Amino acid sequence: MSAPLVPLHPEPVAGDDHTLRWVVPVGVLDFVGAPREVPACLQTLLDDGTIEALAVEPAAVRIRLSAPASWRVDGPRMRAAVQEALAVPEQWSPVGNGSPDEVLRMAVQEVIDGDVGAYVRSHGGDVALLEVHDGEVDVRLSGTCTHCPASDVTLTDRFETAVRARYPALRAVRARDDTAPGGVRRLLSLTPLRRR
Amino acid sequence: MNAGRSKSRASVATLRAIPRLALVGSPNSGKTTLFNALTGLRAKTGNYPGVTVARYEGTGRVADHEVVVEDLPGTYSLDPISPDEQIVTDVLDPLHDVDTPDGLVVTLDATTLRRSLGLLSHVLHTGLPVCVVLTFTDELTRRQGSLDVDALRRALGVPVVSVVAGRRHDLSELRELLPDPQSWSRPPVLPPTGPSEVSSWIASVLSAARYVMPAVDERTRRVDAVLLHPLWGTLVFFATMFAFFQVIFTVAAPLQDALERFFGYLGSLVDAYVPAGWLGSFLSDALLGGVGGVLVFLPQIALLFLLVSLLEGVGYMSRAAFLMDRVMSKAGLEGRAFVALLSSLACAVPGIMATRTLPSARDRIATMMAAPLMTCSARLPVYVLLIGLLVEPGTRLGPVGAQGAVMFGLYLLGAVSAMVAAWAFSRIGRGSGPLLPFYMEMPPYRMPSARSVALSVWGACQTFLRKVGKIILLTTVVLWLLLNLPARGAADLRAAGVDTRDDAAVSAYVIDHSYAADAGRFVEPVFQPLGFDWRINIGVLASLSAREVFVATLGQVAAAEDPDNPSTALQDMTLDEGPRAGEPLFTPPVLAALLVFFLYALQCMSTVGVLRRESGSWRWPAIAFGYLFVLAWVMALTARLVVGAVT
Repeated sequence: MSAPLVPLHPEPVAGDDHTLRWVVPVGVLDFVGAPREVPACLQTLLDDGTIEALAVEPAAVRIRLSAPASWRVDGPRMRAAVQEALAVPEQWSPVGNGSPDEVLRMAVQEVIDGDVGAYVRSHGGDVALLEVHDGEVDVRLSGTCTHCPASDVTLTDRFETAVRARYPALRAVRARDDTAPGGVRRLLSLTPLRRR
Repeated sequence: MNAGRSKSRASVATLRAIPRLALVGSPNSGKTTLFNALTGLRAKTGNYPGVTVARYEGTGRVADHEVVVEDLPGTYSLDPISPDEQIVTDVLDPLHDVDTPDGLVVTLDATTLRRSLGLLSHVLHTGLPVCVVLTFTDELTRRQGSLDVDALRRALGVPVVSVVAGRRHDLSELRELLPDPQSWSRPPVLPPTGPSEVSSWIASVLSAARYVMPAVDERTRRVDAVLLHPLWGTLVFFATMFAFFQVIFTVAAPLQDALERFFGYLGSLVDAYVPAGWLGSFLSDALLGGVGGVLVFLPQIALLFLLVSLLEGVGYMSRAAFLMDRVMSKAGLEGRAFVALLSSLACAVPGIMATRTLPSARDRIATMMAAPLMTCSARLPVYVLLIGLLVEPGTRLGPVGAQGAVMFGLYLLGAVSAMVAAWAFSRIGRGSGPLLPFYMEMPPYRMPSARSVALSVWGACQTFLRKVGKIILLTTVVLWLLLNLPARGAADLRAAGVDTRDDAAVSAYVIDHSYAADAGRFVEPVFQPLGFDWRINIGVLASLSAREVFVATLGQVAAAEDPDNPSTALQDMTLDEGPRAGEPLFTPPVLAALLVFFLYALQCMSTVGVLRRESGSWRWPAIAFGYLFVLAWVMALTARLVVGAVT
């Protein structure tokens, strides 16, 4: 018990009382998606049907309980199990190929669905994921973003920061102009951001 | 926990109209400021921990609803170590017979969020609806910290509102939330309970909220380098206190003169329009001479509280407590005791209540025994009057006024005596047990809000006026009766050889042969060695109810002897009997003895009452009264002899 525990707290998922996102620091688990193997303490709960579904996200473990179980009653037990399982990350393994780009793709999608995407949409713009390869991300900015002089700032300050928080190995985020296929509108360098 | 929920639901059903909310938070996290803003009440706030030790309750109007808001003492955890923390735990415990609130408003100081979240994790486990109010976010920003309030709300699962407590327009969001605690979102899973699990939870919540710790406040750090310095800090402390009393004398004097002139004018009106007789005597002697004599000290009281609340609001009082903690710990007392003694500068009653922050029962008693020695504001009128007789107003000691210097000396002597008494009482019986750790937050220097300073001064003036209106008026009327009874007919007076046409001679005769004079003469043997005559004795006896009554009594006696000019009458009062008959009564040795007597004696029934309540029996108030009386007598005799030898 002397080693500090992995930081952990639950956040609700809107409109779904049975699911909680257990927020975990980035990098504790090095894959995303459904796990093939989980530590015994979680496997038991999957086996006896308490946990209906479990998925790893870039900065969280999403757990859905099946009907009779509820977070209010079973929460402390579930916390203990997740906490214990996080202490042994090597006992987790992914179902899919679990490639780093897969993690990155999910991280980008989370950012688009989350605060940053909401911010862009609130200003009448839109951002969509086009492609992820080798740690580089191509997105499309549309709507009011198209001719907005501040879209650069949004992309570096907000979008890239948020993605990097979930995927520290991010190499670049590019905004690609769809109307001219294949044409790269601008490439954002990483170096100026390193000063953080 | 289940019992808690069902009980709180039941109480909501009955109290549907008026929900009860309690404010919980660490010391100095802005609870009381928030409380005052929500309820418009005037609870005392200060920029040092431990100001609120009792429960305050107030009603706030929120939109169209009323809510009852209760301000609880600050606490760092719900595992109580001291009586004031026990109050919080009892209120939050649904099984305890104290009314459990319908919802808890937890104030979290944004600059010390990591520590504050530990308290929040405890509070969430009570099962009551919880709403978080983030305070000092303005200061967090100023000190280059940052925090995402929305993300914090998501991570905690409860409503989070950021309120800069002094500013009223920040409150609208909170006001919308308050009327319906049952609608507040609750965390899906309660925080963990084990210590390492709790730190894991706190770390995770803070990183989700992208919390950046504030830098050490540069301004505060630089100022503290001087003010907390063992040598410079102490020098600054004494210089500040010295300046403090100079201001009280020099600034308040013109205001006091104006008030005196006003009462003099009222007196001339009474003389002109009210026929001489018992009514005229009552109006001019009892009301104007007695009560008016006390009322003229209102400017000093207001000024004292203005200065104290400025020092508190800025954050200097915590530094003073820190400096003194070094001294106190040498004497085996902890810094919390000093905070209690500091509160006693205003009045011993809150000071004694502040001992609830002390975990050790032995230290509590020791501090209670010492608190009455701190110079409270009730002594101020007595000191000002007597110092005025002792030292000519213009006298200067080098660059400073002598009156202020004497006053400073009295405060200093009171403080030193209090420390010595606390030390002595903590030694008796305790041996030398280990000291519990004392944490005192050094709050950053803040501009005191004009509102809270004004409220503090207004509150003090109100208390003073209420005291004058009740206890002092009552005692004065009783005294007036005692001074004027038995009634003397013209035949009695002629039989005693008094010229009935000379009003002054008549009233002098009546007073000299009144019941009060009998009482004064009865105790004369006790006070004879101190040089007090029966008139001072009456004052001292009467001042057992409240110290200011002494001023009122002397005012009455003087007004009876010379209705037009009571202050000169006081100055020229002579002994009228005994071996020293004809000599002036108020000689420097007698004045010194009186000052010292008032410094030590426990002449305050409110203090005795609160001692009884806080210690749970009559034993300690009796001990306090006894030891302080003996001490007062011995020290007054010493003062008389010393001053007599010097002058």
